[in-house]
Amino acid sequence: MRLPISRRNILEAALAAPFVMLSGRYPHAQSPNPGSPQRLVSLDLLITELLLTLGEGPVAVANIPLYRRLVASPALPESVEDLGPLNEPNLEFLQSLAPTRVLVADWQAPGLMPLMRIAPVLPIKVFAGRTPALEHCETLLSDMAELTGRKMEAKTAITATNAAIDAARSTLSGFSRPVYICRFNRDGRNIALFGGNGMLGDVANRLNLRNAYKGRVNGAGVTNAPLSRLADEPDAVIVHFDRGAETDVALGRLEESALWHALPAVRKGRVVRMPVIYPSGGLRSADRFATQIGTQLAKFADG
Amino acid sequence: MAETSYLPSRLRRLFLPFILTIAAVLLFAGYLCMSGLAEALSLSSAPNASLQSVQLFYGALPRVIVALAAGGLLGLATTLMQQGLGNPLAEPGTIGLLSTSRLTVAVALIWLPAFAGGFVLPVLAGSLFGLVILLGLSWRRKLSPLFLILNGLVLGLVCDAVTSMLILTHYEDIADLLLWQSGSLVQDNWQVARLLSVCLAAVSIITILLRKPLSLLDLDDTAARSLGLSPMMARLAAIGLATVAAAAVTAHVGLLAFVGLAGAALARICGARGFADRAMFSALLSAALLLLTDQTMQIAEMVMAIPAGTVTALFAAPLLLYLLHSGRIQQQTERAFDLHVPHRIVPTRSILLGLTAVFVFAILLALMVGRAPQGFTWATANEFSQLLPWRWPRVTAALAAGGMVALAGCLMQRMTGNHLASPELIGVSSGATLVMLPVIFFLPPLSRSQTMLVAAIGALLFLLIALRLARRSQYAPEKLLLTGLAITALSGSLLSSAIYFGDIRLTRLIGWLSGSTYAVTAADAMIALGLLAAAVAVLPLIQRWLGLMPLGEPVAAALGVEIRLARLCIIILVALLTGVSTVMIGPVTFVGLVIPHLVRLMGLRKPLAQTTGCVLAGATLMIVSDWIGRTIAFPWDIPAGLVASVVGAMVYGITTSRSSR
Repeated sequence: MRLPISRRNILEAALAAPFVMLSGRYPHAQSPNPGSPQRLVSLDLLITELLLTLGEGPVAVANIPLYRRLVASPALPESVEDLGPLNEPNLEFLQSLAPTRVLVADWQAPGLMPLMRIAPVLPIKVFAGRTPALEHCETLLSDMAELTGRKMEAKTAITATNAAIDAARSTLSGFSRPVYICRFNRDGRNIALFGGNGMLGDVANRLNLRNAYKGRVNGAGVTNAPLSRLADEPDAVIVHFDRGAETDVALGRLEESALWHALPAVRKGRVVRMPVIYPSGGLRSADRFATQIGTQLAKFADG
Repeated sequence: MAETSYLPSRLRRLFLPFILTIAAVLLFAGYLCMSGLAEALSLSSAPNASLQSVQLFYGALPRVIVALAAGGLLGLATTLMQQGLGNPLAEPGTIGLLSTSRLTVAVALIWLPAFAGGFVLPVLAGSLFGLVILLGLSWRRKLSPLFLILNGLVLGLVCDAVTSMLILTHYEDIADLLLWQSGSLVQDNWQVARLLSVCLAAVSIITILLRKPLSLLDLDDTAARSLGLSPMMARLAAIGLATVAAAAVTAHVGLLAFVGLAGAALARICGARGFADRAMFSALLSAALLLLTDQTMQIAEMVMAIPAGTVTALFAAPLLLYLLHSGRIQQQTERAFDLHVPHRIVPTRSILLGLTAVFVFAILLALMVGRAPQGFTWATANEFSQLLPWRWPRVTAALAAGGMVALAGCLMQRMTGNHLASPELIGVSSGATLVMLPVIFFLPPLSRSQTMLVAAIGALLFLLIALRLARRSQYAPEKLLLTGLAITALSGSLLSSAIYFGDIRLTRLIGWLSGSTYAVTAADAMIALGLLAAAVAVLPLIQRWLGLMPLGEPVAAALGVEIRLARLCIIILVALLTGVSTVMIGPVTFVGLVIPHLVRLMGLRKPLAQTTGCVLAGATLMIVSDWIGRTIAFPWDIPAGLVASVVGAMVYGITTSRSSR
């Protein structure tokens, strides 16, 4: 395992350490960086994405490599510290960073009681449940704007996403086929299908796309299914996410599969490969997904 | 227990596999009609005909063959493994080879993402690698079954610990591993079906050819040798064959938990005795069980896809429980193993003193030394007061949990006389785990104390069920263990379904299952410490029981032990210890399973010395592991339970190699 610490991090921390230790028993009582009023820490990917959307860079987040791999945009500044695992951030290190508030997902909160001795912990309901994911994200973003005093930024972000979705919808006005949104597993026999109220399913709904998969999905809006599920809707277009080498392997397998070649969508060439989007992402992810799918599906617009 | 049979017994025994198969075939027919695939049979020229016939001939049909072949192979593999190791709880997973292949699959997925060989090569490499390590470690002991099992368990637990760590750190890369390990039988061509059928035929033929020498393994080694058999070679053949069979299935369809074990146990319950008989019936029963499970899942697939591997236990465990408690089980003759550990000259007292010294050193180390971004630091007097509130609850909790689980494991192994018995088999941890699932995924988030209360209720509930089931048999160890195994398999099955359907929240579940002291509070730690102290105080009162029970029920009863009472008391003590530590930091299997053996290998054998040694060693291991987990990969906290597996394995390796000299 590679340690996510750079030499610069260590030097910075070494320089900061004497001050932290001087600051007495409750170091968060005085912020060592008076320039920024808030020293926020985020322990969840969606919360981190929303904070960055608001332009409010956190002091530290958990599992930086995971964020860079899954969400990627908006980019995480280099200065942000890595606290380690999502559910068990390093406490002694966190204490030395003197945060003013720690934002966690509500499902993480019961395991994070010890954090309350460092700073107030704010649990945030990240899983949308029955509310459509985008609507839920907008509420979350407004709440966080309230917290950070960045209401203008929140309004701009929401407008931008809605504009992107509107634009994509008008591009797709001539498109009437059902769509499978999926990811191929390496074994070439199983797939992950996206739908329901999850972020990807919800964007598809807002684009007036017919999701060809109508079954149950889990809390993140995804479910595993056998490849034969793609045969249910003969007219559908198959949209799948490109996860690099993994997808290459999967497509190699599918080339040898009789079932794959018997699918109407495959025979007629209605298969679209598009860059991967974090399926539980926030507004920026939704924005990118809407634009991507709009451009790609427009090719099949005449039905 | 005598059976009264009216039919020729072999014919009567075919009844159960026959019924299961008929049920599965009916389900298959139902599926064909409901999905409209039946039309493809009549070669009509409907517009969809080609798609449907492809689905039928390349999907549904090979799937039936794969289920039968994989089930048969697993049944055979399990019987072979049980024969080779002489333990009715053994299965291909017992000697750790499934865990090594799981680890190689995880490694291949993360670091060789473009590797196109799928899972087959990693699984084969992992199994082979594991087998070589295992045989290398056990060779000097002449492949004695006990050492094979112990080394295999340690190997398996270490690999599982590393895999859990990889899942926690590389959650997203590993989605395919989660799918593979859930064991999906979905097919899209005949390749796997053909391969597994050939494999089944080959393994069956070799088993038939070798049935004479393999049957002789039922005797003890000296008797077998006097009949001209090399027990070592026969054992090697049985284990090698079982490994090949299990690896073939695992490589092509993933982990199918409990199928083989259920088949083998059912075969015994239905009255198959000799090796050849057991092999045949366990293969038949496993095949029928897997087919039935998979066909049911295929029908359910129209609503939601659930891979067969995650639910096999849901089908097999209740059947096993029912037959187990309907009074048709026969008494099994356990073979006692001699440890062949040479007596050490070091007296008990010096060993205990040495352990205490290491224990005190570990506490000081864990309290004083920490790691910050600039490196390791000794806490100075000033900082110490600030850091102590973070550190002492963790150290105390690790101490208490390690001591409790090691003690519970030692009691359990002494009571049952089975070296594979671990405190989890009483069903308490599984109960806690089962109720944690809905708590994490479906209920609104609860606070820590509420969560602990729920877990405690679950643990208590399952303890009551286990006691209720065991009461009729006078708390007989064999039934208790098999019942525990079935309950553990049930909870494992629900767990793997949760992992299969789960989202990122499952990382919290995996964290809890790994044994982490992260979230313990001062109050938890003090309660646990109090309970440990109370349990240690009780030990001198039960030392006579502990000394006599491993000798077996007749001997112990003849020497005046009130067996029923003694068993009940020990079960309750084990349940209390396991329950409290599970609720506090999650299950820590390794400590409970391996520490008692380790302590005995060090030379502590008398009941009181061994139990005290277990408390000290278990506590030390957990404290050191917690400290290492906190510092080694800063800022990443690695759960203590995972580190304990790795550190414990190293200590175990050193101890065995020293004591074998």
